Amino acid sequence: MRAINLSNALRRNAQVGLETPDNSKSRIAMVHPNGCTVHNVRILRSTIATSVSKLMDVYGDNFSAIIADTDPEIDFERVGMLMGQAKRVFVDSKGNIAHNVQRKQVFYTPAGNVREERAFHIADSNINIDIPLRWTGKLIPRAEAARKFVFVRKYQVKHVNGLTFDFLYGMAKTLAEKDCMMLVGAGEKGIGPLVLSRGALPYRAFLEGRIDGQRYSLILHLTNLELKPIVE
Amino acid sequence: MAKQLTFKIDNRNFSLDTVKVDRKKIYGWSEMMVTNQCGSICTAALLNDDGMTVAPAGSTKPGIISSEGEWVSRDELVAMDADGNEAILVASSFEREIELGNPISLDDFLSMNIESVYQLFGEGARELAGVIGDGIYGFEFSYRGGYQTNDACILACGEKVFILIGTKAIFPFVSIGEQGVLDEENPEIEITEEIDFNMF
Repeated sequence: MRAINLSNALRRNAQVGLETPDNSKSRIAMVHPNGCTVHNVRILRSTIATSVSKLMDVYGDNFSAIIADTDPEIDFERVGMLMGQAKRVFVDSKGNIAHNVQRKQVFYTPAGNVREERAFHIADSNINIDIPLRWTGKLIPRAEAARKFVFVRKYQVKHVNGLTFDFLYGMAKTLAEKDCMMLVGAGEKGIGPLVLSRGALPYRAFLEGRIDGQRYSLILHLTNLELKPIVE
Repeated sequence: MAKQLTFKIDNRNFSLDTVKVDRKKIYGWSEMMVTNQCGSICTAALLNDDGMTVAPAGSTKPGIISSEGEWVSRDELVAMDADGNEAILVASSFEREIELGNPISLDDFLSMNIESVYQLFGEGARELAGVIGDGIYGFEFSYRGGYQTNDACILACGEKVFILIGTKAIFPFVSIGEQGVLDEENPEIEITEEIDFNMF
């Protein structure tokens, strides 16, 4: 289990576990009728050297005639090869690998207008750092949350010893009794979104608690989308 | 043209257009612009592990090969479920009527990982919202048809109707004896896509 540093209503914090839940769907496997094992691969179709822009540079005005006559757009040595553990690189308009690139992020409004440009920044994970995720005290009834947010990812928060069982059971019981979810925030102010892994998408997070006698289920819901009507 | 889904509830049929709801339409989107030292725009490509082959975006294609290394067409394969039985082919939800039975519980709905959301438009959307009321109805959904279906729910927010499609996860109750063990280190997978987040 991944670790998460979580605080409760009394601002007592503990390192507990974050578990990816099992899926309720039975997995469908595609098998060969004769029983032989099959596996997915990625095949190369074309290379930078045979791209249209590169060929246009090489052949100029005779480009189309040469393509029709000699098939330079097909790299017979490489096309069809199996791709391995490929790495992402950036290439310039000539197809050469670029080094020391500058990256910036351009933000667009829903209408497609540029809203902001800023230097590309990779956010660090903030769920298991010295500053614990804060129990913000902002409660939202479960039925309301279900119609307000789209919860795209969920994790089960689990105890790692007897002390953290009491810690999490208490949280789940409080939330179950109120039939509410609690906004959980990250950062010094405790209101920031959660970043689970370095460079991952930020999500708003809510805790939901369920109780069955002396057992509990504490669920961390992540959302990056409100359930808002769109204009047709 | 938007594809239509037909729902049957209380012996009444509602055929409505589906329009996808996503972040792009609500908050906008972001793109990464990459330039080289001369200021020229660069594009992403893949460098194969041979260190020589550079594949531009869209220049690779998935395929299936057998353990003997022979090409296998997807049509040759047979879909099997986890119990080893041949899976049943399901028609696309757009080609069949979706019957809504009893509402599902809030626990069941909140156990779903939502992958996509559609808003329903058209004559009858408001009426369907009234029929659904505060209930959340579950159904099986398949966009294109196939062997694997998704869990889906339909709910109303005021006069608007949405369907939310995803997969139900299982969150068992845990007792004190079922404690977990923390990983030695967190996996730090670097994901380079980033988006704006301005929903609050």
